[in-house]
Amino acid sequence: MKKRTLIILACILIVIAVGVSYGLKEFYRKPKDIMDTKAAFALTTQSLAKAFTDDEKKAMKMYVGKPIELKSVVTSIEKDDSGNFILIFADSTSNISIRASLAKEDNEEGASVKPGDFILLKGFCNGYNQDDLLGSDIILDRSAIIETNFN
Amino acid sequence: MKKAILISCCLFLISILHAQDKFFTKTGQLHFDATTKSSPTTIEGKHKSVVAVLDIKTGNLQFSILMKSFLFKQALMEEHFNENYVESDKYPKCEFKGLVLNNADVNYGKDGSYNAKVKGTLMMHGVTKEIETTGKVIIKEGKPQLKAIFSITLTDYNISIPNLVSDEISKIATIDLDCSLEPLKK
Repeated sequence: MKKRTLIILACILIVIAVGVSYGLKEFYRKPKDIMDTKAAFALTTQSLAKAFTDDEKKAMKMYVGKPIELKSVVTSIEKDDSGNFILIFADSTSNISIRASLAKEDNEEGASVKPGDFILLKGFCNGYNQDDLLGSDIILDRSAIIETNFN
Repeated sequence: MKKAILISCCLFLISILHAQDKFFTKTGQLHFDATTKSSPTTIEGKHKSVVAVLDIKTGNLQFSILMKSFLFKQALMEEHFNENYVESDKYPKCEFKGLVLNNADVNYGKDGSYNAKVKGTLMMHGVTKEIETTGKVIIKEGKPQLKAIFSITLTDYNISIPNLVSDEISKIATIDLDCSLEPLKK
């Protein structure tokens, strides 16, 4: 009887420990690293911009919130007030650009990128800012460069 | 011939002056904090791609924020923010359209820090509400920087906090906005 009680107590403690451990792990879980995430789509600036020009609602549903791999030529580079690099890929056939802000961990790589570089990167597509005055933008957040000027 | 050159120069100068009525950014910063004394950790998010446009001639001011671009230290907080609170799939943007009420008091041609009163409508989570707040317009080297700290009541925008965590998440979020604007050359 005593042995049985001990086994039950031990089981309860194990369940509690596993539960607490899972809870803490889940609570402190970091946001997904794009490099550990499989891209849902592999696209170019032209193909992504065309999707939003043709049918914005459909493109929003298809791409927003998804990890995307982009292969394109960098048009320009900006730096925000926190020192984060933003790579800009302008579509020559519309007023749409893709703005890919580099993840904190991958930001240093942005320093060596020049306009005209052919880049392969991954980022989370987080929305579309349609703006006739400023030009429309598809936003890729937490992006990381995979390869530069490859063949 | 001289007259034609003079007229061309004048038109060019007018076009430059006209273009510089508008200033903008696509990299404005916004920080929100909904931490309470009982929060197990800071409930905060950062946004680094606020779009803002200011017309210094009229004082018209607009902000646009993509909700999914808020960055959080913890994934769980980011997921709850997007899925349970702001429902960013359904309401992807937050927009403010308003006016600097005392625009005439801001000397955009002279470096300095000016108090600004701003009034307009804030559209978030499918609710449009009129808000009024104060902030600063800081002019440095001819370019305006907009700074404001204000609060919003989440229930005003139909964002409800579940009872289970009502002590841990503030019903009033503090918003800290900082946008350095550049001239819009179009």
